[in-house]
Amino acid sequence: MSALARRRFLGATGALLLGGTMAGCGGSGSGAGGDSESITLTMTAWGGDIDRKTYKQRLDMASKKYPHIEGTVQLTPGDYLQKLTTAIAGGAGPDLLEIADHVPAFASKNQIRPLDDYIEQSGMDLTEMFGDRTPKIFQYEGKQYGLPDRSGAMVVYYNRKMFDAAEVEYPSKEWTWDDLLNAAKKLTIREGGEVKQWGFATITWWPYWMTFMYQNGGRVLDDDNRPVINSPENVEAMEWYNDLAWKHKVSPTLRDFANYGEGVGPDQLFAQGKLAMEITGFWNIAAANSVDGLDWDIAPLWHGKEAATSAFFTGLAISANTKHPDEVWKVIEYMVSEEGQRPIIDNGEDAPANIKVQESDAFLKPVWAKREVNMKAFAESSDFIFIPPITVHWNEMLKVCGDNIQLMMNNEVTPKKALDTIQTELERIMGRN
Amino acid sequence: MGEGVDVRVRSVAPMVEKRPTAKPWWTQRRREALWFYIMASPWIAGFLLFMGGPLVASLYLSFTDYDLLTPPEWVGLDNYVRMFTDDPRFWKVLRNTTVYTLLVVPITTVLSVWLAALLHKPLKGMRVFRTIVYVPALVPIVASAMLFSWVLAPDAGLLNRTLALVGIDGPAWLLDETWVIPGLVMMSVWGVGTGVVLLLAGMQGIPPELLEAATIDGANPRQRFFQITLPMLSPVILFNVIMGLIGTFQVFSQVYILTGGGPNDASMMLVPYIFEEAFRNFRMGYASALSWLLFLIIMTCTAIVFKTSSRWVFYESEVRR
Amino acid sequence: MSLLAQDRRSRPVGSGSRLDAAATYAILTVVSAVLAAPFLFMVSIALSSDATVQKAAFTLIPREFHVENFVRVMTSDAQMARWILNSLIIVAFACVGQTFVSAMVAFAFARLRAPGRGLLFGILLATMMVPIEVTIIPQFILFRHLGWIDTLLPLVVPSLFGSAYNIFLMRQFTARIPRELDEAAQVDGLGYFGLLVRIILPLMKPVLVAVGVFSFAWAWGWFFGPLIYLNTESKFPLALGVQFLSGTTTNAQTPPYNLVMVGALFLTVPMLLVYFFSQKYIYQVNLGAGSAGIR
Repeated sequence: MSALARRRFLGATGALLLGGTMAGCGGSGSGAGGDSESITLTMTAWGGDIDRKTYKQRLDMASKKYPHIEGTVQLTPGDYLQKLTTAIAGGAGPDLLEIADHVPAFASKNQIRPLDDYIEQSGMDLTEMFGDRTPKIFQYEGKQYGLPDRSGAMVVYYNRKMFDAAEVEYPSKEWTWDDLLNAAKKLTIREGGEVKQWGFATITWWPYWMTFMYQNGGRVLDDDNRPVINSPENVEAMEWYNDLAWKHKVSPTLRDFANYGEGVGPDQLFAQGKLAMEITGFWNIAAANSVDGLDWDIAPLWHGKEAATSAFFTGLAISANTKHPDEVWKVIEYMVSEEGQRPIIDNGEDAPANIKVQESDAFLKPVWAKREVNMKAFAESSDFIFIPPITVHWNEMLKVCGDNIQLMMNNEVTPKKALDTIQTELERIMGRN
Repeated sequence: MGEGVDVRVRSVAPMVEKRPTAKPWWTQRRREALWFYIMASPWIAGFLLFMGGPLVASLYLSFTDYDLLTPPEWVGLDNYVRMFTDDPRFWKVLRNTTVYTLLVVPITTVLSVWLAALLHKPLKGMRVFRTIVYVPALVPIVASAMLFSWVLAPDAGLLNRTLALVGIDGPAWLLDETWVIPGLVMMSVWGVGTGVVLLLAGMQGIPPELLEAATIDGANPRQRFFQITLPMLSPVILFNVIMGLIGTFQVFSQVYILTGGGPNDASMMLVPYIFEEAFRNFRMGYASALSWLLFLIIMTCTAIVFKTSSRWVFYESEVRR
Repeated sequence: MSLLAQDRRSRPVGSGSRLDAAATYAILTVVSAVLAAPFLFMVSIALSSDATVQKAAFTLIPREFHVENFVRVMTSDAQMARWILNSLIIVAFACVGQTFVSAMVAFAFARLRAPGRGLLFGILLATMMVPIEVTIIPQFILFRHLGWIDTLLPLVVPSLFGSAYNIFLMRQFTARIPRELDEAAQVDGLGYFGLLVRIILPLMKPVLVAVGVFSFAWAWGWFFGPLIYLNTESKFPLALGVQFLSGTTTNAQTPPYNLVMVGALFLTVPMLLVYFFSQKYIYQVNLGAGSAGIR
């Protein structure tokens, strides 16, 4: 075939393919429906296969209740914030969004709607449904911008076999910091200079160290959102926290973690049977279950001067740009009801935010559980979840804290110095735009 | 030269017998210029359609405060001023990126030439070796990163254990602010494959007659390599160097996945920083300004390399003029 | 001295002595071991059990052989076939567009003089120097106005206009071809297009194939563009669909690395095979600069 003929052939094929792909062209956003009555809503979310399945299921259930509404879920297989902000900037945003720590950012920029009117009209009692802490996480400047959807407190996972062998009592929420330290000491076993078993694990991830700060009565930001991170309570808490690895040697240092290999953190060490206690969330249940022969259970966290634990939560919000806010409200109202939350626990996706569901038998003895686990720990912990200091500058704040806490945990700076540096940085960041 | 000789023989005859209609110089030049634009038009059109507008728009954005969710707000040169006077992270990031690039590009260039020379030998089984060399470019960075951080582990890692055998106490590499960038540089070695593929393709274009003639004249392999092969490869090497500069200045995934920019920004590079500012901190305007600064830096370095390239790059098509 | 390539009486240049060959093999084996390690690691992870993933207890040499992971991935989503089809479409356009169109443009830049050529070349290079993170927003808006969001169009159409990388690459290769061929062709009344198609392109076969292979690998593995422009899962290419495997409910969770690597293998192996078998065309025995002749 001569070159010219080849090009013509390719051109024709190209046109055919183009035609074919254009046929798949569809509009995005809401309002694309067959008859004038039915409405299609798009929802954005992040996560894995199980989240995709669960959200789709719940949207379908909502459709059964409201036949004229159909929902599709777009699960982003990459960076959620990047894809979402790009879509919104391009005028192609969703109607309904899964939302977590972006509430202040999105609310302050008017991307999500305040829900107070809807809540009042529907007579929903958020405190009754979700406890008095969790709804506050989705508030901004006094208004409610999201409904809690999934919310699991961080609890302590412990290895029962190790506790039995060392004759230590299992953790409970009565424990104090001293109890924790004593137990960790007894549970750390060394053989021939090498650690066979660690009592506890400390890392730079914020739910860990921030919990200790709150438990000691300290805070990161005050009520006016001004940084107070280098308060004496916090310095004391961080010294105690850092001592676990460096003074009492009951926790691996960051260097020790690096030696275990990439991707090895407390969850992995626990699964390997090298760690007696760790703080983690609901998601680790499936992980721990997949290891044969691991005898473990969970309990609410200990307390310091106060009881506090952090939580992993996501909620649902209505986009400010949607053409069908009322319909979106109907859908999310359904999704946080007991019926709408069932798939979350039936699929083992997460812990549900709705307290009644958290306390129901279906959650306490889930269908998928291979063994008895103290699921009550989640409901018990929800009373003392601390509200994280989320603002528009959340990501920047985490970066500054993480960098300096890491220096502290590598023993390169003292806790006081680290916190002072963070304080100065935070003042600078939060002082400007 | 096979049929090439025929070409020459054939073309001489018509010149003598059938004098072509002499076209005046300017029409010939015009014709050439016209054809240039015709043939380059697909790219020109593509650029105008898909790149031109967005490039101008992103330049405009660099003079605004833009959080992606609300409309951009004009702030003039504020972003650029802030970059140089009010952003302590910027200088660190700039320094890191420059050091990293100035280490990686020369090292990979030399390595790729050396490997290509080895792989070019007509020995059996070269096909397998050549494929293996290219493989790392295809493996997802996640796998390479996981493996490499194991290699670089402070005490249990392969590298430090090997160093210990010769009595060197290796640093904590990825956890150490001084050594994290050298660690990343070592990882970049895995990317030599693409350059090698191109060099090998380039080596195919070297007429063996040249090398044979040289051998007959008594040149040893080393002389043949440095005096014939290397100059003939120089256009490809130039390509590898330029693309290496452009690509390495914009390094992203390796940093993001392996170190996250840490410890304490010691390995933070420009593009991860831009990504963070744009999509985490809601400062797309500032990110755009950073991008255009990066552009200027790359442009300058590239221009320097091009300017000096006439000294060492040898295009055969220009010789017989 | 005979200049015919086929008429070789001397040994092929560069083969050297046996010692040289042995040393070469030794060095290449070591280098290959280092470079092949990530791939081996990938395979090892792909064959690991879920428990091993949770413990992050991977080994370089596979110790477990859970081949059922491959089945799990294939049955976890019925869309795999669809995804592969989408990838093939994107790849077809990329290979065609970026080889032939880029070759033509490269030829123009390399051998045709014109006012403004230098400037245009500078612009060409410049387009590669601005990170995509900031041009993606205006580009997205552009495609939105065209109504191309959630279609394959933004991923496919730009390829038809050539790509800066390939144009630059092929320009470097084209510039090495002797000028006399241009004049010979002209005198024979070929015109520039004929020169390109009849003489230059055949001479560039090795680099054309190389560019084809690169384009295939790039387009097959590209997931950033699809991530931003596509919303409907059935339109995803394989590279993006496979990302679903690594998603987790919370960021704190360990991704199921074994399944992730299986997905990655599905992505990587085709590219490997394409490269392996195309070597015949890239590394054919050299026929000399002028041997293509004029038909």
